[in-house]
Amino acid sequence: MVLGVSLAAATVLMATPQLITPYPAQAVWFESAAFFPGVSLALACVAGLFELYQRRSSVELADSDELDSSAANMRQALGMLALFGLYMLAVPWMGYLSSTWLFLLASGAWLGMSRRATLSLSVLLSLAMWLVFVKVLKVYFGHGWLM
Amino acid sequence: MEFFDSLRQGFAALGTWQIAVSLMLGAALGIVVGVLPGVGPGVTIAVLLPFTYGMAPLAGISLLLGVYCGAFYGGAVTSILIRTPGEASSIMTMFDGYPMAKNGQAQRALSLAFMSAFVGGIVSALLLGLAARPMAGFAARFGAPESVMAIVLAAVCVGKAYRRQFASAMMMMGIGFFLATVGIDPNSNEQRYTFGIAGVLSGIPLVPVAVGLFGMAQALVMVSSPVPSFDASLIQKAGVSWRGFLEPFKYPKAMAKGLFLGSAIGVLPAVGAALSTSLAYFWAQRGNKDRTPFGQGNPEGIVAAECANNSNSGGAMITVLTLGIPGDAITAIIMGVFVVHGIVPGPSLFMDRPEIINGVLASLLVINVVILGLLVISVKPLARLAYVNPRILGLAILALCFVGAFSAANSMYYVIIATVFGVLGLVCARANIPTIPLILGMVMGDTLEATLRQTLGRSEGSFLPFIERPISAVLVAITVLLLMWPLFSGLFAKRHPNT
Repeated sequence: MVLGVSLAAATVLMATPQLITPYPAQAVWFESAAFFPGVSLALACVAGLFELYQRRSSVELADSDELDSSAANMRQALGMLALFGLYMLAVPWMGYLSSTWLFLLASGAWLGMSRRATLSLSVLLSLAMWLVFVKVLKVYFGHGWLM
Repeated sequence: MEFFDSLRQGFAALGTWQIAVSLMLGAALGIVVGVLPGVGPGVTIAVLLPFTYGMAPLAGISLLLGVYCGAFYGGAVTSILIRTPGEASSIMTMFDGYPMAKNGQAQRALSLAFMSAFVGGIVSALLLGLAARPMAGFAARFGAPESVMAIVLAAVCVGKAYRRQFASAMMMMGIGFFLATVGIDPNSNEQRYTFGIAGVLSGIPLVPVAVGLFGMAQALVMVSSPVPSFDASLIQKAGVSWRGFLEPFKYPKAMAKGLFLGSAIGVLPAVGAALSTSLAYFWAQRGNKDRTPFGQGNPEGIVAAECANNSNSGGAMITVLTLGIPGDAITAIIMGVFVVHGIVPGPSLFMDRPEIINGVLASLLVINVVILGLLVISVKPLARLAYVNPRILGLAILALCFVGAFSAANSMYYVIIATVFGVLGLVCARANIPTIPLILGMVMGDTLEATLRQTLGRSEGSFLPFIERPISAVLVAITVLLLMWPLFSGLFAKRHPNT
């Protein structure tokens, strides 16, 4: 992952003349639109390589205090992401209420939750969210062929 | 005198029903998310941010501040009753709170924690009121070079706060700075890294990035992790005791240690409450009054930790209001409310919009009173929220992330960005890479680029202005010292191996 980020930063840095349009070739370096992104990408690249060196040299690294995903089942997480992708496609096509209900129903089934819990959660939560966001806060999700 | 005038004006600014409701709702939500397993204030604030766009600025800020402060109090409930700290900053409360609860003193432990947190919150709000104006006066002397160095120093502090993850934190900070540059360059109108996509012309928006990195990534971890088991017998004993409420005042030394460290460390970017609570806890062990060993139910441990924990909020807001530099990820998102309403945090805010500054001060004071009141009347039913299955919560958060990202601009493009950053957050969590520096980099990137260009433009590309001006030179010296510190300490350790 660290190598990927470093390489991506280096690639974007190298491709910067093609990625800024029109490229300010005549501008002095400190006034150029490419200066600050270049510095940022160089920082990301160098820091990433240093991190990689530390990891390869088995320098003891601390665990992050942020999100702990050590116990997470990646297969389930990826399945949930796929369901979320389908949900994104379904909302403008079907409507917010029906697609939210289906998303929660399918997610509960995918995660192995009991039928009763899945059904009650999907019905109650989708209805509550529809009422709050569509009816009260007037968020417009487009016209689906269902609700 | 000026302070009391500000306070009076602040309370007057809060006197609309919209702000009052936001404040109450934020405080209640904050307590709930503090108690709920796995849900933190970061997730909630990220999801709520788009809904603050339609509100008056002070109403939006009060809502988010309520969540921010409420979560500190709520986190103590699970730390004490089920030995599960909701936040890293509540770990120290657990060390003495849980043994105390196990010994049949759950109500005493909760009361000690709530009152200590209350004192911390009130003192930090007052400190904000007293220190913000002089600090803004000092910051008003900042020109472009000083602003550049203040942000660079903040970035280095963020990296240092991650200790042995310094390199990966700086890598993510660099990515954050870079993401802030995507879109049309405001100086030259050139399109930077837009790949011809119309939606990217105005840049990568902060809201879906925050929703993805904090909300979606957290939700994906929650739904795919096994449900934790805990001894729930103590939840039945939740409550408060009036004697316990007065007990923290028996330990003024522990309280002062917590307040001092919490407020001082709260001002430092990204260092956060976790460090201040642990330092306060260990400091309180020296010269403690109560003879109960620490870790076995010593009340001073709870008092020091909770005072330090909740006194961070005011300190973190000082740098946002006076310098426009967020202290942590949550204040970075709160800064988003300012930006959306066209308010530029910094010294000029004290002249241009004093009602915002005074309002923030007054709302921090009121929020702490409201939270304490809510906890007194509802701690027993609230504690039962710890039973909620984290998988169900994760599903609800995922569904809320969709609405949160979509409603920011009524656009599916925002949901796509949130999903991309949700995946990035999950992958980073897997690879043990911090993501908060990315958000901080995104928030500070615009100002850093503008001030850096301004400085270098005036000096024709020379870096001398950074060391010619006294304040900037001091900031450069501190930054270099921080960066070189491992070298110095290594050399010192080699020369004096026995120390």
